[in-house]
Amino acid sequence: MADETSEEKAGPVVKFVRWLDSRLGLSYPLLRPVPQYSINPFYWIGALTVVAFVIQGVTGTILLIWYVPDPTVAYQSTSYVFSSVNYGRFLETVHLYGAYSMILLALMHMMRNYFVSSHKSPRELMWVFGMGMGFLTLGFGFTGYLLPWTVVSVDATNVGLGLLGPPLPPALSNLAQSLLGISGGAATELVRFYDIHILILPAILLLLLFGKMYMFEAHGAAAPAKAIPEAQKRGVSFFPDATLYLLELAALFAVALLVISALFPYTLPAQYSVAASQAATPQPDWYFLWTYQVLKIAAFEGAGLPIALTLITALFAVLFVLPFIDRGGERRIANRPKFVMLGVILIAELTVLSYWGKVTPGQIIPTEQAVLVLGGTALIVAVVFVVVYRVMFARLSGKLSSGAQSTMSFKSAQLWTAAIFTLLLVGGALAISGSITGAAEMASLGITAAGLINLVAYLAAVGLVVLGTVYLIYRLDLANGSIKTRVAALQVGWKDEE
Amino acid sequence: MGGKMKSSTLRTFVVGMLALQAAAVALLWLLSAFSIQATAAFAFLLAADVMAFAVVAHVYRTSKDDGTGPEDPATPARA
Repeated sequence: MADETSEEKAGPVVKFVRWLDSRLGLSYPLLRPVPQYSINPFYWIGALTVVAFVIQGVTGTILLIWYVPDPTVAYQSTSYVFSSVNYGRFLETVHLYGAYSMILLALMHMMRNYFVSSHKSPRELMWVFGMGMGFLTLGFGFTGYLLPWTVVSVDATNVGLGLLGPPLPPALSNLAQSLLGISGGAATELVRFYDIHILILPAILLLLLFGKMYMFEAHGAAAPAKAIPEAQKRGVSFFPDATLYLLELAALFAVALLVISALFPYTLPAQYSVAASQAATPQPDWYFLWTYQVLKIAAFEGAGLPIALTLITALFAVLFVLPFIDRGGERRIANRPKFVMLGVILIAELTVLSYWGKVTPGQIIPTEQAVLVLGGTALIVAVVFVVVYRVMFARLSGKLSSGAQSTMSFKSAQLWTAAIFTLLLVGGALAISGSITGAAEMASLGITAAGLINLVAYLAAVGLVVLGTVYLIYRLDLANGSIKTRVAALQVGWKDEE
Repeated sequence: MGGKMKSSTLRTFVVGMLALQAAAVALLWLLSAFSIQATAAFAFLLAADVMAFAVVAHVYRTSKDDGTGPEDPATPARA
């Protein structure tokens, strides 16, 4: 009776939505409810990566209207979008920064899952699929970079493709070269890259995404390693509640993307020509700078190149099979110091290599210097890590003994977490972008006092964002009530509750 | 924050958001689609619109019931 009254009172929009729902089955439990504790931004970084992929799909499809995959007119067709298409520059900028954010989010998703041990049983294959998707995301970056046919994109791609020559075994080299159309000249190569970028990679990525979502539906999100209250375990319907939550996060992500696109509009570099290429120093985009820097180490020049390639391949291989290496049952960050420290060192080394690669374009790095910088980074990070680990335990003990408790409601905490997360995302993107730009300007224009102050300010901002992120994770840890468990572990030795 | 919003407050809020979106759409027609400054203005307005959508979605999600949505006893939560 109540339902009938409600149906009579409903307006046309509500009636239409109900009709649509009954036909499409949106509110049917196609996807199972998610636990309450997963209504937290850190659980949705992977979903945001998919959102970035969708943005790329939409903006990329629109750009296809004007783009011509022919070396003689590829640049002109891209330039036409900038100069003669309504909001064309904006579209290109969003597509570029969308790609950057997709790579960044994929990296964050991988590192988050690594640190919270989401890759462990029974989600090993989800990790492998995710790594495959991450690899394809880098492939998107590599193939898409060439398409505008600018001097920097062609030069950098040629450096990358040069690695597919003699360093590889002949059979593998021939296969890679024919797959990428390198042997057919520039025209074939560009068309092949275009096909791979708009057809092959999206198709494979969607297949892997489907497989990963299928496994996700089977296993669900990994529960926090620590004890969680029963209220946090109850189900939240996937539609509309979890979907709305995802839409909120997606909207905040889109806002960050739009603001960055507005503040830093993309300007198309010069067109590729042999003369322009000879005058320029090839340098890849930021996500490949670390490999670029590794390959510039003197020891890896010439005969040492296969060793560098083997090391880089080995790193990817280890990441792929990580769940089968890191097989211990312990999932708490506090109880996995070795793996956590290795993860932090990896992040630090990649950051240092990328930054170093950006500020030293074309320079060969002496082997001793590389050993000193990379070894020193690892040593410093390890020492700082150990100190922070100890201090964190002591601080947690103090918090518990003083009886400090959060007075904030769970909903407010959620909102604050989402807001701070967004702020950190935007701030981090701006700070990193500013740092790279500042460093590049100093590298090209020379060191000036103003440039140095500018760079230091941006780097300080990066540091603040990193500290903020660590603090946010720390506060989330406090909110989730893991202190008692940790202090108990300190006092009487660790005892796994599971 | 977090509690149910009064229906009058909610109505004022939603009307305000819709007014902002209408103003944004009207402004967009006045912009040049080629200048960098106009493109930036377009991006900021679009960002404001998307932010308004996020806020409306949040208010709807947290106001319509206890903030977590209906439970489905037939289907257990994952994990």
